[in-house]
Amino acid sequence: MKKKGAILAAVAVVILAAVIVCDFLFNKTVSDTFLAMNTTVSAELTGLKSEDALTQVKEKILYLDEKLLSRTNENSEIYSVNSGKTEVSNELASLLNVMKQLEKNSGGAFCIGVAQLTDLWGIGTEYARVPDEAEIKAAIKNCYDWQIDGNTVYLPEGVKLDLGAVGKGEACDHANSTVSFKNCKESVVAVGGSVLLHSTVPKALFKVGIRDPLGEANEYCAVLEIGEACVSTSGNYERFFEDESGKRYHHIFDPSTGYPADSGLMSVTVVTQSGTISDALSTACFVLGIEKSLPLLERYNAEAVFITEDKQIITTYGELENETVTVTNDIYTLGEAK
Amino acid sequence: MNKLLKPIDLILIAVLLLGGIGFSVYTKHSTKSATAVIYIDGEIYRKAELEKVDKPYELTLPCSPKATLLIENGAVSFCEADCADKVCVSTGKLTKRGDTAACLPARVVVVIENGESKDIDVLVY
Repeated sequence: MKKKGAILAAVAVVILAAVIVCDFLFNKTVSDTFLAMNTTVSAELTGLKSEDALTQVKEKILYLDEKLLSRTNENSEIYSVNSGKTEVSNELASLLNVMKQLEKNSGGAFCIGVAQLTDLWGIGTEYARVPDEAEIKAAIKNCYDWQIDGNTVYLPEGVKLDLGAVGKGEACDHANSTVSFKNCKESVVAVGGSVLLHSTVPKALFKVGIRDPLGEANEYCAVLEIGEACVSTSGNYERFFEDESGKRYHHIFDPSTGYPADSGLMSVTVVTQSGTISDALSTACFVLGIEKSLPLLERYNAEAVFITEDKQIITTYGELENETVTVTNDIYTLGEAK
Repeated sequence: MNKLLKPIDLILIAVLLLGGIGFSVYTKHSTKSATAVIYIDGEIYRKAELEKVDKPYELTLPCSPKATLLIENGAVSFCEADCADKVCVSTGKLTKRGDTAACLPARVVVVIENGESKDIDVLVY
């Protein structure tokens, strides 16, 4: 009898030990922070193969930046396109097709043919200045006329492409395929203002803080509680400069005027299942303003949280069961987009 | 008498097991004190345990353009930088786990590891 008891005890011990070891392995969380795409990337992944997944996520994001999307890296495809190359890879061609569609669907509020305009203003660099009217007109001329046909790109004279408004979202999509493939249990990958939230737990909810446009960089004024998604924010506080009179110019331009967008917003946060789309839509909606954004958001099945200059937080989230927006700084009031 | 396991062995196993469980629970939930991890060009340059800072001090980093951190009890911030945009300086103080500030031209990233966590999973900006 005693012997039997001892064996049972030993078996119990082994099982318990196995459970602890497995729990430790399957819930292994790894994280990393690095610079890419002109911003900070933070990734935190949980799962059996989280370490492997993290290495791949990092490699993929650096590849996207250096070999595909960077406008300043001489080894990138966009750099070659802007210097005259016309044949592009399938990867870039399919992205450019999505961009063309977004330009059309947003009525021109979104446009990637404005690299010359960004350079002209130089916001975020030491050469930042307010250009004169004629320079601006010249910089936006023909900006919508670039074309993609199969793998061939056509750029009108003077037009250069800038994928800065979608690169971070595209990086989130690549991270998404990697963590899904590596079966990570829970992943949060933040590429600057674009974030991937991924979980294999059904109905998992993430708490996403939306930066307080009037506060410091680590302060938030609202919390969005949502399931798996990609979230992107565009705000007027991120990059800007002030002229001699103290007037502030931010970095999100209205491609139709060539001036910083002035639609009464301080920031827009867009939630969809695609990082590329949420990144592009956050820029487009910032330019469009609340009212004109609503049909565009609907078209892409996206939700949004707008923060207006008069301190209102307007959301498209209605009376949903789970997903909620909570205002955490009471200088703001919450409203629903009609 | 049992030859396989003596009562003392069982007690020992129980103690080890409890210890093991206790340890794994502890390592999962313990809040080690907040540490500022400073990366220059992707490599860890220095770590500073913020609870152990008695007197605030400035730390000038060996990077270009020049950047200086202010390390205080429980907080770290960029206090000076020679870059054009000064985004790093305007980030303000980092105090909680996951708070991050970066100076892109100087390729410096400061992240808070461990310590008290924020009430959110991630911040969008």
